[in-house]
Order: sequence, then structure tokens, then C-alpha cells
Amino acid sequence: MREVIRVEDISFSYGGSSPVLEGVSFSVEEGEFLCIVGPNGAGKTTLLRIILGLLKPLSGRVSVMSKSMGYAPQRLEVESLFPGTVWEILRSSGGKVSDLVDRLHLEGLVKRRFTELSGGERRKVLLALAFSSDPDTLLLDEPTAGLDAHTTKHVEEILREVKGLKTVLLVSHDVRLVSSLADRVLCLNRRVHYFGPPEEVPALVEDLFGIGGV
Amino acid sequence: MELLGYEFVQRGILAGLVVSVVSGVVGVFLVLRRLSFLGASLSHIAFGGVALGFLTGTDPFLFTLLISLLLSNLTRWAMGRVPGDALLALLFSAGASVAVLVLGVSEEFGEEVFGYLFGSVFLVSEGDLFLILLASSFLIGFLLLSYKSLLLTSFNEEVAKVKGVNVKLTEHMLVSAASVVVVLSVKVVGVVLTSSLIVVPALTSLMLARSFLGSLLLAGTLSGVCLLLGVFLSLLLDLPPSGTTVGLSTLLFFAVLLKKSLR
Repeated sequence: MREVIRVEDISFSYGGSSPVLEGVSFSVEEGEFLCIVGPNGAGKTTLLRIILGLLKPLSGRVSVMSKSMGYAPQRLEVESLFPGTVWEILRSSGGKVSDLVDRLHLEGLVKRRFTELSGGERRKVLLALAFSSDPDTLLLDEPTAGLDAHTTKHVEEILREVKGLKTVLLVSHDVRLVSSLADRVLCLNRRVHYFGPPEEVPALVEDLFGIGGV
Repeated sequence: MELLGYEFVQRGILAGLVVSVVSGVVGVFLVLRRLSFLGASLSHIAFGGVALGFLTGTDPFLFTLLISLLLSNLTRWAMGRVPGDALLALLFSAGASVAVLVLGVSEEFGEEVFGYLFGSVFLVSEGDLFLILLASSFLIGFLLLSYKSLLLTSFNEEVAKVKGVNVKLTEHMLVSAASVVVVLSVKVVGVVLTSSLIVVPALTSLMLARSFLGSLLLAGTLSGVCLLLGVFLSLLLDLPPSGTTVGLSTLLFFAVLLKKSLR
């Protein structure tokens, strides 16, 4: 399998404060489903933002061999007066909007202004945004957080559909989801505590971070 | 109303209409990128530029355009390093101080320079109209070509970056477009009211529009209609056209704000 992301000994801190990431190294292979778990403030979102090139690590190196990446952030700051509709946003980000609408069940949302959507509806649109223009690699930051049970199940189905077809880096607190989807798991809490198959994850997460998932 | 038969009035109305529509459209992007004060700062830079142009004997229009383009791009570059609002306040004062200094050194062309403070559509020359039409065509071309990048950047900078938009370049293009709009607007509504021509119709449209494209079309339409009404009212009641135009636009904004607040 070809490596598509290589992270080598990266460290990062915000404005000289205590480090958020220290000596983090791992690699992701083409078509792999990597889940990143860890407690709040462990540096998971920061790690994704570094891989995307939105933040520069203080030291270390990130190599991305993937041709295109899609990103669904955990939350998004949008100017409250922004008038763009879901359809306009998806259309501007590339790809066939009608396919995305069908796939993510966005029929009732496309004509609405993004700023008028609820938190859960926004999350669905952000997921669609990640899928737009059909990228090779998906970086998804807690895509099921705050969703109702029905939508969560639907998102999980979509994730199962793309497993093996796309490279996925999924940040999640949901140990059940991680165990059922991941090829490998990265347990992160500033440093890498575990990087390997998902079988040992439930016990590891409980031991290392004191969380049992959703 | 027989004044409408005069060529200078027709020329002024055409120039004013084109400038107001383009200003309204560019204003939407500036408001969404939190660069509303850029118009006010650049118009004062333009005021200093006009004064310097007269002092050095160069074309004030082109001279001002070059200075505005240079300083707006420098400002955008420096915004990541210095707080943006402080930088815009600095530009605002710097532009005004240059004008005051030049006028202090030579009073020879004081009247002409002060004419730019309040502007008037009826002072637009044939040469000005040609430049206004040319520059506006470039601006519309830029907006059409960069529409998707501008929409995504206005939505969220990081999403735009991940989608491959060169956000820095897009923003430099946007502040350059704003410079052109300001220089055009200064001639039509003057230094003092330029920022209102750019920001007020944009704000009104952003409160009313149901889509991004709708907000751009509405901002251009509201701005153009206010300009036309302003000019006609100024001819009827013998009022300054620039003040009447911006006054109408501001009244409309508060009416919409009131209606929205009462819902």
C-alpha cells in the first residue's frame, strides 16, 4: 500500500503556550480508515489542521501525497450576515451538488441560508462539503457529534460506504464507531499513546484517558 | 427637469449609476470580510492622493488610483501582523494629513481639491466617464471570474483554503477592486460619503437577500436606485446630489433594520 500522509516528529503550541502536540509521528496508507481518539484538548483538531496546511508545526515535517483532501470541521465560524444558501456553498466548492444532496439527504436544506441552519443541519452540510469535488482523502472532525440518532446512523452508513474506497482520518469520541470502522487507531493526548489495530482500543481509551465513548 | 436634457447631467447620471452599482456589489464582499472601514480609509488616502496629484501636476485620478492600490495591498499584507482596525484608522488619518499638508504648502488649487471632499455627479468630465466605464468593466470581469473564490472566502477562509482557493491572492484582488471603486466613487460622491456608498446598500441587501447572488444583485440595484432618486431629487429641490443619494440609502437601511427588528 502506498503512503498518502506521513507525519514526522511534529510539535505545536498556540502562541508559545504549553505544547498541544509533542513529537507526533505516524503514517496513513492509501484507502486506510484511521480513527484518532483522545480526550478534549488532546490536539486532535490541531493535528488535522496541520495535515491540511492550515497550521504550521513548530518542528517536524508533514508530507501529504494525496491528490485532494476534503475536510469537515467540528465547527465553523461564519459571519452572521453571510447570505449564501447551502446550494450556493456546495456549488462553489465543486462537484455535482445533486449527488451530494441525494447522498446526505439535504433536500430540505439546499435553498436555505447556511446561517439559518441548526447545529446538526450545519454539520450535515459540512460533511457534504468534505465530500464535494470527490477528494481522495477525507479528514472528518467528529462528524456525528450533536446529530440525532437517525442522522448519526445515516452518517455511519456513508462512512461504511467509503471505507476502503477513500483514505479517511476520523476524529471521534465514539469508541463503538471507532472499533467498527477503523483499520488503525491513533490514541492521542499531546503525544501518541497508541498507534495500531482497533481491537485493544476500548480498554486503552478507558485506561489512558478515562473516557468510554458516547 | 429640463436640466436632464443637458449633456453634463446625462453624463453624470450614467457615471453615477455605474459607480453606485459597482460600489454596492463590491461592498457586499467588504462587509462580509469585515473590511467595511477600508472604504473610509481609502477615500481619505484618495483625498491625499488628489492633493498630491495637483501639487505634482500629474493626473489626480491616475495618481490616486496608483497610491490607493499600493496602500490597500500593503495594508492587506500587514493585517496579519498588526490589528486590522488600527491599521485602517492609521490609513484614514495619514490620507487626511497628506491632503492638509499639501493644501498648507500651496493654496493655489485648494478649491479644486476641496471639490473632491463632497464630489458631484455633475462634475464628471468625458475623460472621467471613459475611465469609470473602463475600470467598472474590469471590476465586473474580476467579480465574474472570481465569484466562486470570493463566495467561499466570504463563507469561511479555512474552507476556501482546503478547497484550493488562494485566499491571500483573492483578498489582494478584493482590496485592489475596493481601491478602484473608492477612486471612482470619490469623483461622484466625494471623500466624505464614499464609504457610505460602498457599505450602506451592501448592509441593507445582506439583511434582505435570501441568497449570495441575490445579495449582490440587490446591493447593486438598491445602490443604483438610490443614486437615480438622489440625483432627481437634487435637481428638483436644488440639493447636493451626493448627500441626497447617501441620505436616501441610509434612510432605506434604517427602515429595513426597523422592520426586521419589529418582526
